[in-house]
Amino acid sequence: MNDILILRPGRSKLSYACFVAGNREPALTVSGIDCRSAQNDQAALKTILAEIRENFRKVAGVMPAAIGVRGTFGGTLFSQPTRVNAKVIANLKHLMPQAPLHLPPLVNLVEACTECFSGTPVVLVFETAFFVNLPAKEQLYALEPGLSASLELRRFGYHGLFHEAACLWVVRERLAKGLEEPARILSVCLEPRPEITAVLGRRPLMVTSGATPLEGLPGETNCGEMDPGLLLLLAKQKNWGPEELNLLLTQKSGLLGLAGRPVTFAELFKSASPDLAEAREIVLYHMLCACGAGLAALGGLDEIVFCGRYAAAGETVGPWLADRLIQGTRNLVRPSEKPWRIFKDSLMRIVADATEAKDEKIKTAAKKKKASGD
Amino acid sequence: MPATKIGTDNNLLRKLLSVPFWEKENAMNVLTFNCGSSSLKYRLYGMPEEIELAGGEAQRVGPKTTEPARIIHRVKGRSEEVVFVEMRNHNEAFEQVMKLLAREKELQPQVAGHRLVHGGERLQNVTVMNPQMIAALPELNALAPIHNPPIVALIQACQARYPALPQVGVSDTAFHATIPPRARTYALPRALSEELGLHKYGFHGISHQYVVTEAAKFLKLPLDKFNAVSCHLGSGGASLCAVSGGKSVDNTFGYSPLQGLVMSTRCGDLDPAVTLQLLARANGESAAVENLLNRKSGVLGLSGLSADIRDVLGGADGGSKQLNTAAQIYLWRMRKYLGAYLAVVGNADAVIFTDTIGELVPRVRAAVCANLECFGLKIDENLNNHVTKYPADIAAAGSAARILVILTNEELSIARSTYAALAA
Repeated sequence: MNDILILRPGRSKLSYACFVAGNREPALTVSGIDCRSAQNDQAALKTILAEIRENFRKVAGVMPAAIGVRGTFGGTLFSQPTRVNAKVIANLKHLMPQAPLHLPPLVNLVEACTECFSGTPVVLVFETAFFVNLPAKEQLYALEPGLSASLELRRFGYHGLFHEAACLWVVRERLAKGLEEPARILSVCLEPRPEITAVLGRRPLMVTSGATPLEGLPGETNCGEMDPGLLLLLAKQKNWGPEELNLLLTQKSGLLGLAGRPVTFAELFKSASPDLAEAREIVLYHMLCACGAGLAALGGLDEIVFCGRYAAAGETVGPWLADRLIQGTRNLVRPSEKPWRIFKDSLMRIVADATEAKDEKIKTAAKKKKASGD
Repeated sequence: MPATKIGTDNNLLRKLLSVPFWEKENAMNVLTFNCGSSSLKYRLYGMPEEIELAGGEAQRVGPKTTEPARIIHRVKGRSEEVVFVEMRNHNEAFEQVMKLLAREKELQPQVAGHRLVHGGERLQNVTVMNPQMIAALPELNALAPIHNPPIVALIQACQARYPALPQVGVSDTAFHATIPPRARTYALPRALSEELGLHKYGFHGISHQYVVTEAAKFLKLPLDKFNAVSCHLGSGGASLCAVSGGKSVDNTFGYSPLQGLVMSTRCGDLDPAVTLQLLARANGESAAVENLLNRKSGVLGLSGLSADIRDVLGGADGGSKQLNTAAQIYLWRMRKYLGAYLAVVGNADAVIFTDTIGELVPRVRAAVCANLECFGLKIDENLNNHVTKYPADIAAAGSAARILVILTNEELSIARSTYAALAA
């Protein structure tokens, strides 16, 4: 294991983690650095990165061997961890219109990174990468193909890093027991915007999110599935434009809208508070529906795995779901041994692993090239 | 069955209705109306025996078309008759139908049952409508701007012309009034949902209720213990309904009939952000987006060829990649919902297929039920391909849940609900 720096840019804040060789837990994690004003200011961004570089040196004693940057949306161009070079930057710029809020600051950060940590490989990992090759029937909406193509409308998942790592872990655990058949896995990612995907071996066949993370399960502040007719009614009756509707659906809905106060999923599943009872029922119901759909996609079930920052809530949700899926199918579905597992790795750890794996690949390839050149 | 002619005699009607429904005297002629956009279907049933005494359909109602407007009229025991008559709107069609029925004294209705597409909050249950309710009906037009107005106008005309004839509103949303809050609530701010009545209503309830009742009868199971997923697959709209204890617990439609499955020209489920993107692209013109999503999407939009899945399946066989993708998307969405509802219902007794596509297209049934043994579902290919008698059970011998094909009968369903509402 190597010394690795992980950067996780958010909409207005930057978080990072310093991993030191030989330790799976980060030696230093800093979150919430306000970089709103620095996002479009390369000099300011470099100042922030210089400070991060110093902090890394302090805890690790060395400079990072590689830097991993976590991005949300990488479109269809990025289906695996990618080392940043001029062509990659050009590709990202090409993608910008598809994620105009997310990609420009990401590109700025990556460019500043390559300067600040000159010579250190920068690896980009995207949440959408795992879902690039979803089957066409799962990808597409029932709209004219020309319209979908011109607006680049297709389904992605937005917690691919958690799902992929959780499924890989499950598959390895099964391999250790001699179970080689591709496992039929339901991966339940419990994050502020939860997401469920049905995975066959390592290939996702179905996912709750859509063209954006807004579709699917209700989240802490976002609405989840929504009748398009209802939105058209709101546009008409309230005379609300797309911006107002977007604010309503992304910031004021979900658990916040249902409970009338900010609620996290940790609280939702832990609390016995009666004011959360209905919100909990609604969320669980949608999860059950998604799992049922996943079962139909997989044609059966071997494993349920929980991941995400609230993965521990799987202790509550797991038995409930397993009960309904196993008994609700007349015991025809039999996940192996324990019906559900909890994958505890943090997102930073997952990104570090992906970055390191990519870095190793690059080095091996370089060695091979050198060897064949000799 | 002897039917008493009561005309507009209020006292006699009251007397008739006060008799307990199990008494033979409570036999009642129920006239049902089902408005299409340019048609009016009617049936006169002798209830509770469910004898179809008369019925028919007024066609080409509305502005003149290339062919003359007509009523195809049937009376029990006689051959069909076609009456050509101009009908500029549904009210005139209604008048003509009443005239045809008035020719024989045995064919006098004692109650009229009307199909309403969207009953809103007020008509969420089957309701015997009083004059105040009838006067307020136009408020429901906004909920289903295409379908409700002709029905509302018809009910009001009926009330004006036959004030003593009780009128019952049977809405396509009524069967879904039992959908629990966990399934009907959108994760929107409570105050907004309450202000505008934003929740799942569900549609096709008249048909789902009918086939669910018939399925339980066919399987000799008590309705209140019957669990199923009902698939109403029309050549236009389509929806799945999760049924627990004989009651609807979920439906793929939502607040409007736009959510859910891929339909002939409707998109079904769509990322809310995509709806907003389309709105922004149309400069906020919601009517343009409504038109796009309601009339130019779904099977028609995907295929660019036809709104009918049968044409698309045929074209996919011919090797067209686009048509194959269109068919796959249509079937996949349905499969996912079937899985979701089977999980919700738990230990389903049956999966039911009905309406044009569900009744007539074996390969849709086969594709939707394939590889669902994990839910105890196994279709018999041979039985599926050779349905000659309805209801048909096309499940394989070892299938834990039965797979049924049942012909829907919305008119009879309306008549049953109407009769039950008066007998109650």
